[in-house]
Amino acid sequence: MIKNKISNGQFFFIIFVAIASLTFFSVPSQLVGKVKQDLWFSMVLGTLIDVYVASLLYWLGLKYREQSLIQYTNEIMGFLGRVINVIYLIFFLGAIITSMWIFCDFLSRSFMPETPRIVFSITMTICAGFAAGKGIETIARLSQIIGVLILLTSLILFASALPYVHIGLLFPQFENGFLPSTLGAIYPGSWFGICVIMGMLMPHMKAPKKTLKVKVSAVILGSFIMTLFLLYSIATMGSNMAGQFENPIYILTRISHFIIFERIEVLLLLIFISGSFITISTLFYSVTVGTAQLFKNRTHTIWVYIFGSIIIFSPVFPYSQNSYIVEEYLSHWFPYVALSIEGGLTTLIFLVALIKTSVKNKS
Amino acid sequence: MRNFTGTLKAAFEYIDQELGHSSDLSFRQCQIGSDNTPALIMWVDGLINKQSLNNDIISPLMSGSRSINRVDSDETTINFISHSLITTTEVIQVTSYESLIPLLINGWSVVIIEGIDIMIAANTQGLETRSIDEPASTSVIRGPRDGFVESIDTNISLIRRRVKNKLVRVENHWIGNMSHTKIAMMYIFDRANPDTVSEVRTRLDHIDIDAILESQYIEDLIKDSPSSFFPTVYSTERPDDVAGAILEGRVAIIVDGTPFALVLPCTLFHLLKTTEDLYLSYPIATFIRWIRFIGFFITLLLPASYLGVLTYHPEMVPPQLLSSILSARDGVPFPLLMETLLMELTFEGLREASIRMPKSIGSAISIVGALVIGESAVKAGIISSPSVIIVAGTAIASFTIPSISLSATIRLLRFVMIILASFLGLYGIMIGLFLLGIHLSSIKSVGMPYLAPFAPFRPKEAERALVRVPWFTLRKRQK
Repeated sequence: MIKNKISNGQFFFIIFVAIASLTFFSVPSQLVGKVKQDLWFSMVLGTLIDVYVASLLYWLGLKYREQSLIQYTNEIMGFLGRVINVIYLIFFLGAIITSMWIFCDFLSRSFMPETPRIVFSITMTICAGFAAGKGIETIARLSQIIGVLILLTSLILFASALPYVHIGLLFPQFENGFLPSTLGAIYPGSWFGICVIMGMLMPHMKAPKKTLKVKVSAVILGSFIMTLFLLYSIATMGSNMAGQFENPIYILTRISHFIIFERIEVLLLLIFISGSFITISTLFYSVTVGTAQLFKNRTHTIWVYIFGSIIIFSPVFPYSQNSYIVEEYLSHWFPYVALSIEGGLTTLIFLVALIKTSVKNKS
Repeated sequence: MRNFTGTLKAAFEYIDQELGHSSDLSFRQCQIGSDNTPALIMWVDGLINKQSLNNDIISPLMSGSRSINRVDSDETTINFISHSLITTTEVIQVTSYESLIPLLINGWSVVIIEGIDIMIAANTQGLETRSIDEPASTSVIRGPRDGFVESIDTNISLIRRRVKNKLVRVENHWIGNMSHTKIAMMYIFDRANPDTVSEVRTRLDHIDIDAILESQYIEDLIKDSPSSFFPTVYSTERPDDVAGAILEGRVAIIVDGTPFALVLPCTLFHLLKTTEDLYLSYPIATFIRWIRFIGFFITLLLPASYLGVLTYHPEMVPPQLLSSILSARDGVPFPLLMETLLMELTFEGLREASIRMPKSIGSAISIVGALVIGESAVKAGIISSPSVIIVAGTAIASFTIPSISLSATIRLLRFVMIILASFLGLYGIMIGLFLLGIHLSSIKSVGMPYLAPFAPFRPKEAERALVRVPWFTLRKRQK
């Protein structure tokens, strides 16, 4: 019997905060430059991809009650399940390292240029590790507070940036056809897909039957808010200029004023840093608990230390030294690999489980 | 177990020896019955009410016992004395010394009759207590002015007279191997969560300590996360506060010998409420409650934010404000961190000094503090006036937190935040808040999450925590 339970509201905010913070740090630089004002279509497609993965996980989660993604993959796939589980766990770890790298790189370039990147990764890893060690209940409670903060900040920013918006800059739509925005869907799709951790959280849900409804509404709200942010930045600066910046949402807040405060981008950044903290903590929790389940350990604490000592070095990994490789990694490798794991492997597990169930029913 | 043999001399010698020939053990010899049977009445001075001893035991024994023809070990004689002669509220018959000694040291008087192997113990407890007074730690502008005293019975009566209901339950425990302190658990039967009640009961039963001299001992021993800086048990001197708490379904613990009662469970938001909220009109009470919430964050974050923003993110400050701050800081020899720490520590010193000083000198301390530090140090250019403003603002904010222990915790954590801000600016403060948030989300008070009703979110309770709900809406809801 799983003791730590999370409510629908807490699950909603974990997913919402993950979508918002992952989009804030990872998607804009890829999407705004390449897809421009049609990016809303990419975001819609990305959301649909995520809803598809969520439906599969929901079916599996209900079928294998009180079991996590790692546990039922073992049961469904047998030996192959162990291999798939290792791939999942490496993917989770890779996703943490990538988002940590992007996070440290962004903070170091935009926020505190003189502070070494490793300082950000050390501090964030300590916080996320502390939270992961305390368990999902703690992360879920914090996500409720931080989720509300992100929502409120977003609404305030939308209101304060309204005078600078020029709707005309959002047109013409689909100037180059549907292809760029359709292909662009891999960026939000792959990052949203990290919410495959839903498979790790579902056994903790107090009301698992409502998981899909809650998850879909959280993804829709998260992607809607972030699409608005991205469209706001294009409508304020124009697609060409917005595409030049690494993070146009950050620049948008730099332009806006709030009452007497002229430079509110720092506050926005702090809010999204807290979002990243929740996302990294949830991923950290999923990877450590998943590994403990794979190796049948009684607690996941030891894995918090082991993975923590790897994640700390995210900003100094070899790929991060060369900007060409980084560009390649973030534009092609990560999205395709992520999508094939999130969508591909999950579909495979779902199909095998479906076949097994129908064979069992017939016999 | 050693049984009483019925000889007066042996009984007296044994008790005298057990109490180490203590000089406050007093006795009075008398003769009862028509056959003048010797009897001995024993008590411990200072613990009994002498008037009760005279009127309820000695006088009836000596005058009323004449009707007994022959005093012997017949049960009817003992029953007659204990049920018809002695007029105290409680009388019990004791046969062993082991049960006699605790009664004696609890203020009971014992009657021993020659030749009878049963002793009669009568409750003549009468400790001198302070009269009911306005509590010094929490004063109110509007609301009842009575506070708890050092007597547990008086304290229980102060709560009972507010909640006159048959569902109020009082459970007594005696804790302390040496002190045998009486502790009462109070709750309302169908309102308090049975799991909470049994958890508190179990924790009290598991206490193994020499003595309980104050409720802080109990607080330390039963609180969740004992290593946490945050109070998870609420302590109060006000009976109306405890009455309100048990009406909400919480459990109160009253300890003999101290005016401070404990209430469980206690969340962060319980510590930011006061009973006075209930006595003021709802808009004012809500406004004051919000001021307290803001005060909580200002106490924790104002000096750290000042330091962090000025050191790392001066661009956030509007230019005119920034130029005023910088010109005020011109010529100050200390770095910002040192200046802030110095001022905060000075203030903490002044606060401590003024608490320990007699009231008449306390004002002198504040004059010295305000004049010497506030005025002279700024004029001399040793510290800047914005720092004084920040420290003063933080101090005022810290006084808005009603709980002394929460206020002390936040004041301590403020220094951690200052250090973090000096290393990493606002990012450092965020890291501090994350760590604090994780800690607060993970601790509980007897099963209730510390950040409830916000994390986990419980809408109705959250509404009541944020707003002092007007009574008329509650009446409508009940209908």
